[in-house]
Amino acid sequence: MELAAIFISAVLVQNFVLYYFLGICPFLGVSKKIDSAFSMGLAVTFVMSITAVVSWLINNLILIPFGLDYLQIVSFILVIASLVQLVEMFIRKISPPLYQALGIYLPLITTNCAIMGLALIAALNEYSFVETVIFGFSSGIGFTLAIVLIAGIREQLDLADVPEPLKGAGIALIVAGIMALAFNGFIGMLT
Amino acid sequence: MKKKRRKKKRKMRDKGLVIAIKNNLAQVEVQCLIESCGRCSARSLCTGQDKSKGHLDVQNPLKACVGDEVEIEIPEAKYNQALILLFGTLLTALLFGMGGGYLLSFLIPLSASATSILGLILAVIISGAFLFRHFKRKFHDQLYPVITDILNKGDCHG
Repeated sequence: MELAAIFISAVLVQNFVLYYFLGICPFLGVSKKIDSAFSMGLAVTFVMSITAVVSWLINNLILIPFGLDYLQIVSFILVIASLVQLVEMFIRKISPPLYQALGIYLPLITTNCAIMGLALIAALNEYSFVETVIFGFSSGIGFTLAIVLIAGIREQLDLADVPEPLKGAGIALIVAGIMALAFNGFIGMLT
Repeated sequence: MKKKRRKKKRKMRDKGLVIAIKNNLAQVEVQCLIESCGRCSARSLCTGQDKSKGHLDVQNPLKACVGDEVEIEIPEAKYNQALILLFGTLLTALLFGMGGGYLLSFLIPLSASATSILGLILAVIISGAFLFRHFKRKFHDQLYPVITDILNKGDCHG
């Protein structure tokens, strides 16, 4: 039951993009097409899940036992950067053209504050290992849901008569705000 | 008047200059329009470069040679397929590994956290090895951009 609550909360209620407003850069930058948005969402979900695992290990096996909690931010930054570097190396090894095509795509995940926020929130809530992984995974699913939804709306917006000054990021931010208000309606689910 | 809501199948195309031929691949220099980076993933290769030009390895079925101005097509749909396969496999392995490890804790005298961690790491390594073996075979050269037209022939054609 606890795990289900964590899952629903991270996907719908405390969605990283629409509740915390973290990870806005890829949310706006890679949300022009549904296909690209979905693959970006999967990549973020994977990095979030693996970050949750490694940051839990570092926090509970090194930082807390040795009283080094104040190093959380520095160590989590290091962990996230190393992980994305590893993923990049792996992709480069298995498919050089895919690595060439991704370009800024993966570093965009490294500098995504949603990943950092995830590690810090998981540490703050003192989740167990399994809870941390479920939290990481469901936060990624929540991110994917938000980015795919906005990509769908933006594809339709291409056909709409948007006033010139609002075209591009302007209308995307307005849509994101309306989506955040709509997602607020889910708050009653977990009271 | 109402706009037509017909969705056109867009293909990502670009122009470039062949600067080298390596094995079966041509190296094409494309102009980088930095201001349009936000709109086109193909421009990402330009980020962080001082010059306003980027280099791409592309398939060369038309046998273009050095000096030719060519049109290239970027297989964006294939990139998405490849990414979904890659991260989907790793994510599934991660979850099943952790779940399997958790269930194993009822059978062996280890804590649920320890078995979950072991299961997860093992599953991710196995799926990584699986991808390493099969990914190349599945996509082969399909992920390279392709030269679709020679716009201006260079001196090499004589």
